[in-house]
Amino acid sequence: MRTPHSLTLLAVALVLVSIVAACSSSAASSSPSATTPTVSGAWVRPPMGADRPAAGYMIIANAGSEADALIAAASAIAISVEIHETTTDASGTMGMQPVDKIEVPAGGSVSLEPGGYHLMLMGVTEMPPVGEMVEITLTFETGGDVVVQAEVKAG
Amino acid sequence: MARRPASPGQPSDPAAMFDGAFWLVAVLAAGMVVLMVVRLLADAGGVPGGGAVASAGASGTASASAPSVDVSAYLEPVVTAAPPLELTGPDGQPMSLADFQGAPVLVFFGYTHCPDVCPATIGTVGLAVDAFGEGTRAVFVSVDPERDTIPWLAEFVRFMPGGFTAVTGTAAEVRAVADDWGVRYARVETGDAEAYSMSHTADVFVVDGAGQLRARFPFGTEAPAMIAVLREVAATTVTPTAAPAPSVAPTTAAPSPMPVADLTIEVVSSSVWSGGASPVILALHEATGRINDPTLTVAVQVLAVDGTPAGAPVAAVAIQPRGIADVSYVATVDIPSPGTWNLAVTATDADGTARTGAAGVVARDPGGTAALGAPAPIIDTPTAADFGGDLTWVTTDPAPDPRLSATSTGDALAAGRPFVLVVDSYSFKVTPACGKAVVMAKQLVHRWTDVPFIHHEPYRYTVVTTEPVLEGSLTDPRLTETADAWGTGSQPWGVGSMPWVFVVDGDGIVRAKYQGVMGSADVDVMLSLLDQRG
Repeated sequence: MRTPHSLTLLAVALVLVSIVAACSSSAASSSPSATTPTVSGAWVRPPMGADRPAAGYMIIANAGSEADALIAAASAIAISVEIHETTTDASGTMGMQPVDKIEVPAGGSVSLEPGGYHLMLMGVTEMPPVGEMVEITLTFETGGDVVVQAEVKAG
Repeated sequence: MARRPASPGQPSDPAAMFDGAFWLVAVLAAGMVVLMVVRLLADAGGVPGGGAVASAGASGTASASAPSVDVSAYLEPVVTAAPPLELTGPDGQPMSLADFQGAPVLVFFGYTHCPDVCPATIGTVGLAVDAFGEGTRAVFVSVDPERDTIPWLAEFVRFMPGGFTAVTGTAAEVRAVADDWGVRYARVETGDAEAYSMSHTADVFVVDGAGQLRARFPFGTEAPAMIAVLREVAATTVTPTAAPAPSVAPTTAAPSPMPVADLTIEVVSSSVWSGGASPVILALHEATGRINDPTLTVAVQVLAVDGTPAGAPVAAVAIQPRGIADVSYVATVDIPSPGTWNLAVTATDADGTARTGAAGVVARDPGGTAALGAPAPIIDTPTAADFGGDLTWVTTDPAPDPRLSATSTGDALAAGRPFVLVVDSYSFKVTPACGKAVVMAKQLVHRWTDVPFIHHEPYRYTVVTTEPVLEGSLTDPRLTETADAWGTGSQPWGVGSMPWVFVVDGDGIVRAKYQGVMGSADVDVMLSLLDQRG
């Protein structure tokens, strides 16, 4: 009695696992544990010319009950990936500076978007064409590494 | 930093109703459903979790994605001729805004190493230009002539949408154009000399087909709003019958009898103040490049825009910061009131040959901030030593440089040492500009190891375990006694005006001050000035 019942439920669970796996392949991230932040809508703007940086944007959500922080990023297509923040002062002057980390509040999210936080891909060696994907590894303070597939988009 | 358990709560009595395998599967299934919902929400742009949301978007920018656009919000209240714009195009040939007369032109300032703001603006303006058509053009003005040379620009325009061009010039030419357009910019160090960034005004200006400045879009304005404004502007463009070119006036000329200018004057200072004793850092340029002659005798006369002199000419001091080839000339001027003024400059070389030039300058209102030329407030800033070496009570910077918290202003004043006071909050971002001056100071402290850079957190906070917690709120923060004593919360600036930077000389006199954007050249030149005078 017990064995067939359990096997049936196990089969249902496996189907669910495969459905979620299929969803996540297009969406962007792997989720090693529930405390690891999840990433959606990741995209990369290609550099405007040789030796120019590319920018990466995304939404990082933290469903966990403890704050986490993005502390590093890397990609095989760039020599280095820095975390930057663009800020605006009272006169409308916008400036950009590297930041050590981006806090992701517990139960909240943070947007990396034009005019705010962004990844800066320096020394881009090979940029795939628009529509293709760039793999970026994000490192979180407590959540560890998350591998993101970011779509190359103009804009 | 303990990780929390990954699964939802466990059943208190697993044997009561179901066996262990069932629970395992049920929990897995429930978890999967939650994950799927989270993904769907995230893909739709929603925010899962429903807790505190930190958004890094540019504040204060117009959101114009709504179908109905309030065109009037973007239009200039008073229509005037567009400021002059005569620089060099990517083909190395002179380019003037007047060349584009007959169709609208969108003008904006940036730099080609900009990875975020400029490409985003180029993308949006490109959509608007493409959709509106009518021969509309876009002009990108580089504020980084050092790196954005003509060959670079030629490469850059290949990556820009159709209808775009890019222009540059000498440092002085670009500065003059930016001043005329009310555009501010400054070099910002990032720690790598090759990879500096530029702060700059990110508005997009709309010039109509008759050369009139008609509208401006703050950063973040979306293409539909731009298109609606372009329609309105095109529909209401009045072509003047006499058709004077919109941009042939010399850049900063006052209408009064001025000597024939053969010098181009660049105002380097990122803050120039009314109310006396304001140092103005000038770079002098001639046709062949920047003049780096420390023996020049340079006099500066403040003029009202109608040419009326304000006070007597002032002698400028030639300054060559250590390790830097460029010579700057610093004149300490008395500008009577906030607003636009002209500076007439006469430079006389060793054999008596005099040359002249002029530049416009916008003087800012000092309000109640510590006055230039007056003694610095005598008040101690806290140091790490006051808290047993615990930096968390002195700075909210999570990666602090202890040198910025080692000296109090009282100690520096008592020792008769020049110092730089940086009043800025790293973590309490009352405005998005907060924290930038601290980052700049952390770079400059490497170059000026013998000068105390003193960082002061302007907002009162307490430390709970290791985290700084603000007293009051981000919209109503409370100034420390020190920040208040320096007047950084005074009108017209208010408590949200951080950062402020003050340069104080060895006699305890406030010699320079900066609000908001500060270029590293400002501090380099001012500290060198204090150095040279001992």
